[in-house]
Amino acid sequence: MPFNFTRIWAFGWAAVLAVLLIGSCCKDDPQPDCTDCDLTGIPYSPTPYSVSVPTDFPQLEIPADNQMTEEGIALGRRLFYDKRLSADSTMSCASCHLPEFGFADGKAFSEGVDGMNGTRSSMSLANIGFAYNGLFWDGRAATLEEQALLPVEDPIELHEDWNRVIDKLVRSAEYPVWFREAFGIADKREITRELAVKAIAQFERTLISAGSRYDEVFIRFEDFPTEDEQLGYDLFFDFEPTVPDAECGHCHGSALLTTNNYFNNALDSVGSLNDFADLGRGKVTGNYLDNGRFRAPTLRNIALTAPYMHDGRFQTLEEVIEHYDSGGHVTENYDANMHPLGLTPKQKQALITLLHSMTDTSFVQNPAFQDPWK
Amino acid sequence: MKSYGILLVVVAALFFAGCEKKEDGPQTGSLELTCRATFGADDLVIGQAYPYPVNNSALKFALVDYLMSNVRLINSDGEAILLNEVDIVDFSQVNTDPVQAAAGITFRFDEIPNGEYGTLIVGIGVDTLVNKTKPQDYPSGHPLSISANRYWDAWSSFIFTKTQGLGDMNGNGVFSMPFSYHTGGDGLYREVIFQKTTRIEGGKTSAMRMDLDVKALLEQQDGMFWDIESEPNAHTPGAPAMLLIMDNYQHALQLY
Repeated sequence: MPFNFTRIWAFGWAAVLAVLLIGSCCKDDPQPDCTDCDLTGIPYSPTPYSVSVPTDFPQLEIPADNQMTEEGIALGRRLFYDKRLSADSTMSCASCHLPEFGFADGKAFSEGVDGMNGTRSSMSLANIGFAYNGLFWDGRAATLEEQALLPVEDPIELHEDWNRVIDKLVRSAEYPVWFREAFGIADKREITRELAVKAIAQFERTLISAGSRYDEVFIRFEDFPTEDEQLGYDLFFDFEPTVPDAECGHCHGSALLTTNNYFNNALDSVGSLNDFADLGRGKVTGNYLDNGRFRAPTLRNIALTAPYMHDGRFQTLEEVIEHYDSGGHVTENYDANMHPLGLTPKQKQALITLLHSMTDTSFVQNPAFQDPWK
Repeated sequence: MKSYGILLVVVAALFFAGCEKKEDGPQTGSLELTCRATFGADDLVIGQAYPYPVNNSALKFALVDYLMSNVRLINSDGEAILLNEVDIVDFSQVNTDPVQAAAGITFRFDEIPNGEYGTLIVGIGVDTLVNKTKPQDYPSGHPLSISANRYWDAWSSFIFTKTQGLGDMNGNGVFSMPFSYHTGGDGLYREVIFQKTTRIEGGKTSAMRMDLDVKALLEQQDGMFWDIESEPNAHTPGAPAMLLIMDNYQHALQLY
């Protein structure tokens, strides 16, 4: 069969056109035509936000490239509660971090947009801006900005593509204005995921909880403790030699009621540290002795954040206290402060009373932290 | 007369050039202090079993650390050069295998004036002035910050040392006895004084090694070893186990 050069030329051009067409379809960042993309007509005069750090808290360390402003916080709050950050617009960050649950979600495992369950319980965001030792249960994100990037694209969480999120934001009527007001962008196409997570982080740094009865009694000394509260406090922090040390303060010390360190709190009996169903911190560090260790969560608003532990295995605070009283399961790397405590029923109740005193209703009901879309 | 003038200029030039040359050389040097942990004659590896001379028992360590503060060199004039304010010497994340345990943890101190120093002083814990501060006074990453997890409210003190692990108390191979000795409190700050001559030379780095024998921390004056099974924890400053450990730092630390 002789060569048909006309046909070959035609196929050739068709192939080139197809490649160009596919190439343009696969561009990462589809942006709208920009006849109205200029934002410079909108004033940019952000208002610096001053954080009031509560008594006995550490300084709030704010990244130099993400100073807090009223406009940045307002934008972050809208993004935090915006369901457009998920693939099917049914979930937002707040779906797993609800104010009424102390910014957790009341479930053992949070459910993502595809109906898939996560493998860990949602963590409280109270005072999350003061967590400088890694975020998530395993510390895999170093900063709030880094952390906020991850759930959007996680298949078992919001399962969306950041490029599509940005496209939705760029095409919306309000977001370009809000990004302009917060970050001074000149063109709506300058909206990026990096700016979005900066705004979310700004909002999260405002989530400061220091208005509980615990603060009133044991930090600001504005009231006297009840007998149970005092006993609970003495047990918790080992203040009174005549009562047992419940060893709580080793992991939940400081006004933050956490040291944000990583511990194996003797939940599981395993033959080898590689046998943990969830390796926790060890998966991040690669250190065998970190297997089964998880970040100690804050106990602020702990009565609102059931179920408990990284996998939500305990439904009540009573179950939690029973676990610690038992001493848990001995493993190679479990914290040596875990041992049978021998607490009396009265002492257990005192600890639970103390834990309830850590509920901060002024925090969970703070209008500045609620859903702005309602 | 003219030749005298030239001679004067030459002499002056040589004089000033000589002065400049002297000031050009580095006036300070550095010291690297490598801290290691051992159990008797063996390097201490986290999670490894070591025979303990009480009732045929054995110990595995999970956490061994101490605050090292006010480290200073003393020269022949008695002048002290402060090398650090405070650091944590934490073997728990380093001594996880024999190679790293042998290598130890190296702290580098720069800007030390040249000269010969006959004494090194190492503080264990923090002095009373620092102990009046709180973790919230320090930025993240500081050895005394909240996330360093080194403050115990009931003592109003930083935790000076931690020695934690599991014991097999009857030699059956089952390590099921947790022990945890934290120390702290104003009265327990200790300074260990080493008489050892070291020379600091401009632009150069001198080296020292300081080994902590964890076994020696638990040895009592009568040569017997602390009965871990009877008292596996220490809760109050001044408790016998705390005093024993802090006093023992004086000889459990060796400088090479």
